[in-house]
Amino acid sequence: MQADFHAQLHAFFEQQQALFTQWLTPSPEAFQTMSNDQMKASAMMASKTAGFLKQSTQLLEQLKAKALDKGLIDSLIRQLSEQTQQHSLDSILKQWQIPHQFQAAIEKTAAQNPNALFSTWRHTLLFTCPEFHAMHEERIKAGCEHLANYQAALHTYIQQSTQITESAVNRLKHALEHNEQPIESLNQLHELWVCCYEDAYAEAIRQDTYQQAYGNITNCYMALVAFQQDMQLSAYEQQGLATHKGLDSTLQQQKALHKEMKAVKKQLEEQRLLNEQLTHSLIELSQQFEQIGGNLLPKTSQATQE
Amino acid sequence: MKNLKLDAQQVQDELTELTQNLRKSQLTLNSLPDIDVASTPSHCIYKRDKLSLLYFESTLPKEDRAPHPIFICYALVNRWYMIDLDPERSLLRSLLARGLDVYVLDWGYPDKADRFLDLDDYINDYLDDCIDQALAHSGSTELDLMGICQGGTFSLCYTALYRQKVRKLITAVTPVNFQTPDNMLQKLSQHTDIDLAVKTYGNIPGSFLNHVYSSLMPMRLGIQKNLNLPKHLTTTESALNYLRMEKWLYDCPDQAGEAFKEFITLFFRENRFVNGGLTIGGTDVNLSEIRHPILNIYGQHDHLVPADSSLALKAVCPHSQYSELLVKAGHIGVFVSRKAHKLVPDTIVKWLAE
Repeated sequence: MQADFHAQLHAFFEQQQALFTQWLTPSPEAFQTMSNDQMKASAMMASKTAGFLKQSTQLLEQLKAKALDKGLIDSLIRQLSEQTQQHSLDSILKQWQIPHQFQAAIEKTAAQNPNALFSTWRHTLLFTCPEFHAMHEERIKAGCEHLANYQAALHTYIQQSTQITESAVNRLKHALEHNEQPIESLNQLHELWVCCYEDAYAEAIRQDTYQQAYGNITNCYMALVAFQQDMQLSAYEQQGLATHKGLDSTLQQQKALHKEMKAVKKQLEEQRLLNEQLTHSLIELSQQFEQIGGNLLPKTSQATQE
Repeated sequence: MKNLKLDAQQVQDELTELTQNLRKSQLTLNSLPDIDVASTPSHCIYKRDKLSLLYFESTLPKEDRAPHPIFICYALVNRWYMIDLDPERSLLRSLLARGLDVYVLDWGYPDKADRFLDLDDYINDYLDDCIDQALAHSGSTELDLMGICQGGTFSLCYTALYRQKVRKLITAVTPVNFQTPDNMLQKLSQHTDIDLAVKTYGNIPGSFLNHVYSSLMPMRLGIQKNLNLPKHLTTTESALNYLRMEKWLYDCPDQAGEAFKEFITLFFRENRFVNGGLTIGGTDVNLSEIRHPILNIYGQHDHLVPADSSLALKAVCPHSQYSELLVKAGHIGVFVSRKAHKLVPDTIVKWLAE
């Protein structure tokens, strides 16, 4: 029985290895026949499932060596939690990815020392945008403040995210201890983990602290981007180049004119309708007068009537 | 942890199955045709700026068709072809097969030139203009209006403003009360500085909105969805279904900055349908003046527009002839799920004919 199991395991590893080898070195024909959509799906599938397969394979080896005990369960839960936390961090950094110039500054500044950050960032700006030589120190300081606010907001948001994962872990442990349905497969375990996480997340999202943390990181990120754009704008304006500000101002004027024109058209239409009604009333009145022998209709209206 | 009963054999079987699914998926992807969406034939009868008005003629003989056309107003977020993703489960095709001539307003993709478009432009200008075009094209004096999601919010405003042009109104997964306790979108966005967003981006990028939507269920729409990929891609049919949906999900146009700001402020922040005081383009929008028959379609499991948000419609339109249809599905499932495939078009056609 044990030998059979080893053989199966070996076959499984080989199968997996062959599959990943095939993915890593696909034939050129395979890519030629795949559209962008398919290639994206293929790449995503490979990257996302590879980690899962690796972890599951490790678990399988451990399970093969010994029965499921507390140590193994703790390690399994830790893996799920770390994987989720990593995913959250990736999403956070992707969603609020710092603009390139700021990122370069941060990478060069290991410690969160504002003075060090200031000088490094200033150096980066001067290096990447020589126009900033002309900029006032105060402005650079303002940029540093934006950056510091962003870092603080990011820190708070990551703390929130960590708390959610911790709450999800507690929920999972509770469910594994108290739920009536036993968990007999990895799929069931993963589904339970997803439910626990989503429950913890839904609870957090209802709290004002989380909502503020989310709003704050979004706002600080946007402030940073807006600041960078303002600096670019100043630099372009100094060079006498056209900017989006000019375009926006033209568009706004065009928009205002369009609205005015619409209002005038509406007034003209209302006037036209009023004129029609007036003419109609005059005709009616004139006909009534005619019946009693008079003539009230002006010449223009007579012509229209004819 | 007495309930965790994993054993090596079970885990190995699962991993073997996953590996086999991965292999099958790869083969499926290699042989998959292009991902086609919006395959129902149409005529573009009107174009203006970025928008197009599409006409879909019923597949029934003229004498068997409904006397009034239906005009579908989709949201500015995502694209209209959610109602025509897959030929086998297309709400659009189902309506055509049941004798309705359909007009669909395709808002297109706003660019920098549209940065200052506001709700007045979208409702009083574009939507009204397209409805006039549809009326002229169909030879009718009134039509049935169906608004989907944000398009439903627009349609409600439109019906209140132009009562004579609308015969019956259908709202589908339409937010009305934007501040129900389960409105996660509202909660997540309430501290976001919208003025700063518009100052920074001009038009709000579609990718920005996609991140917000994914943030509503980060695990289910992230890790879990990706891990389930091999399961969805094992056969050509399931792969096409899945990838069509993905294509639609990520086909998210940018939002004209001014209109976006106005929409968030008037509806998400100030909840004007419920609290009153809504004006569009300087004209009061009073939903209580709507006396039309209304069919309100909503999803029981809708996480974007919670059922309670849609159900608030009955109270804000007290003089309408109100009826509703509950679909046991989510926001998108109302249109594409197997449960909804027959129920929704059958109900619409029957209700319009009443």
